[in-house]
Amino acid sequence: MRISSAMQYSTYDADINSAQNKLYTAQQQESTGLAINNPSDNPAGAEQVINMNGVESQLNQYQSNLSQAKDILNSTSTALTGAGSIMQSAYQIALSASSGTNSASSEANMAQQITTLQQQLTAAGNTTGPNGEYLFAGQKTSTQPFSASSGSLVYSGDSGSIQIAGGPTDSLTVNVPGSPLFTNAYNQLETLKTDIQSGNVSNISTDLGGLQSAQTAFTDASGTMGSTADSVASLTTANTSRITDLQSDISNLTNVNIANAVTNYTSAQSAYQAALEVVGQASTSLSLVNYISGQ
Amino acid sequence: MSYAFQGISTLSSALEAFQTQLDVTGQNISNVNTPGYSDEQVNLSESPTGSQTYGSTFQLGSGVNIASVTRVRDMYLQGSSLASNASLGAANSQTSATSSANEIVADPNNTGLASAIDGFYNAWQSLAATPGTANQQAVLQAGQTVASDITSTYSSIQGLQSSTSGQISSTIQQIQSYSNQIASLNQEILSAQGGGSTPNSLMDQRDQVVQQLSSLANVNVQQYGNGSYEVSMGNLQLVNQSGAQTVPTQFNTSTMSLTDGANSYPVQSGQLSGLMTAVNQLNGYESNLNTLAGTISSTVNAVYATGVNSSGTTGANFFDGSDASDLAVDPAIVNNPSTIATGASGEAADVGVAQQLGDLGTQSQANLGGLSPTQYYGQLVSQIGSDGQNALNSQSTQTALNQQIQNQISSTSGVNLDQEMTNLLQFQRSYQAAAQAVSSMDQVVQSLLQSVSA
Repeated sequence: MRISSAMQYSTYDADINSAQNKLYTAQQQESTGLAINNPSDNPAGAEQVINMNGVESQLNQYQSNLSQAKDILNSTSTALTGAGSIMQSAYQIALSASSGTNSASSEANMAQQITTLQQQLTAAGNTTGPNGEYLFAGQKTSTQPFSASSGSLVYSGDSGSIQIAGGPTDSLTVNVPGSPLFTNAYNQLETLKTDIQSGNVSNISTDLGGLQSAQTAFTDASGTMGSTADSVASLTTANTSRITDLQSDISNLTNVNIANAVTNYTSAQSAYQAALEVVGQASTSLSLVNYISGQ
Repeated sequence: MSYAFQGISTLSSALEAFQTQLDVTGQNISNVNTPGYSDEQVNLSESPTGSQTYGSTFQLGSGVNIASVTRVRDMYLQGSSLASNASLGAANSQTSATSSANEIVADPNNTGLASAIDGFYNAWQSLAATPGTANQQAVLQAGQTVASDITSTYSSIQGLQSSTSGQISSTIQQIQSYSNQIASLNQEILSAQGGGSTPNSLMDQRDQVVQQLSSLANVNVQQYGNGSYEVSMGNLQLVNQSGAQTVPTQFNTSTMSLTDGANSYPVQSGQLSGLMTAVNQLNGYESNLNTLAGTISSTVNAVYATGVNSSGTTGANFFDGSDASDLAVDPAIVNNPSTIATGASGEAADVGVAQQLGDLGTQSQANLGGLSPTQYYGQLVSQIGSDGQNALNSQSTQTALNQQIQNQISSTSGVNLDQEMTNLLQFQRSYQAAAQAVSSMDQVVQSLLQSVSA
């Protein structure tokens, strides 16, 4: 093939240009550390990254929901355990009251203790959670649910349940209906107080059963919260491992393998250098012009 | 019987011929870098035999004659380069538009529209998990971010589309201008030929303009008997024997054609078709964004309207606007985010509606082809990416093919300096020999004159 001079130089130009482009791409990948700088670098990969980022961001949201649920469950559990202890104390008082050997002043003292326990129980029913919300008010979390009025507990909450999403299909109930638990316990205490004040020993013996079942109700509710907390923990662990997997998949797609990037860069650099050298030599020595001396 | 000065006259024609060869070599060397220049060569022929008879049997020629100076040109290669130029022109213009579209949706650090969509639905999840004004405020901000990211992506694509349409108009003007140049070169060549000369440089210029025109559109060149070019783009004549024709300035990208009202002229290749394809692709992206924005708006509003807020209002909209150009959060919410409804009862802790809205983020939508909003956007990005990748691939293929054809043309028509230098030596030596021969003749005649006078 006849090689024209312009063709020779335009070929050099094209070769240098292509070597320079490869060097630039290798440089860009190495310096940004990103394998996909534009969707056109890897269209299917870019779509996968968007979808995986979406899933990861939702999992992170579930993690934050679960941590919120854990806080609420802990506060609720503590309050229920506290309420159980209150009933336990009342049970002890009832036991000694049921002996029938107490003086009038000691009976008055016991009734006073029950009143204090009632106040503590009311306070436990009005426990607030991590964000200042009332834990036992159903969905009326901004309204104080319990207030004592002429010997009974008035409930201003509702029976709604509070649910937190821990996963696409994992809706967790993080509250217990407060009204029956606390109003029933309060009434038991009120009955006990009346019986102590009236010295009705046989009634006090009957009261013991009611006190015990109120205490059990608190313990059971606390147990329910505990098993929900277990679910929270296992969902959190499962999400964490899915997030780790996703992050590694995303990283495989988006990040360049540094060893490869460095190798690519070095070979692109050599190719570029070689292209430059060819032009340098061809233009300085390889031409008939250089061998014809002036006549 | 030989005349004494016959030899000198023969050699004078040789000196003139070699001088011309040296001049043409000089012209070739001068134009080694001129685009479109064709290597020229002097075609010599032996001069007709003179009337002298040497002895009775043979006659001598009267020297050398310059028959013509011609361009070295392969018309077949010129023709095949037109189609290749057009394909390359199409690939180049499309690559430039799709690369810009790729930059608009480039999202290497997950900071763009995709994460805004995720963030919006997650904000509802947060509000459902922890009701309160802080998270209502967060939902408002996430809603504003997703709305403004969609509208700004849309307007960037639209801006790109309108500048691409502008390029179509200026390409049409360029086609008109090249057609005018070819028509006037046709005229000049005709009149030079009428004067009896071969206007090589004008022919090179005309071929060069045809090459430039061919990268803009699919053009065909026919040569009339008188050497004029007829240039057409499909069924549209650009230049004919009566001169340059008017190129229609109206175009329709969806039918890929130019139109003058009465007729339409399909555009099959070249920069013009690349730009039209790009406009069609950009239109597709815009309509996808509209579908995305419309679906987000209508699905969110349908659920949101079932909510009752703290002041008892129900049936309200969360988003205003129905497409990617006007999506925005309803002003009532912007002015007072604490009025955001989360449930059907209006109680702070009733988060049923917020939870449903949060779940919308991962639900497949019939309007989105059974995909979730994020997946739908991912599919759009993948579409833009593969359009860009295809254009880049086609550009690199067409560049290589075109380079090959240009090399073939250059191989035939280009100037090779080594060859010119060899020719230079040959012509110089020939000239020296002819001059030497003149000098010898001179000595012969001189010695004859001296002996006669002595």
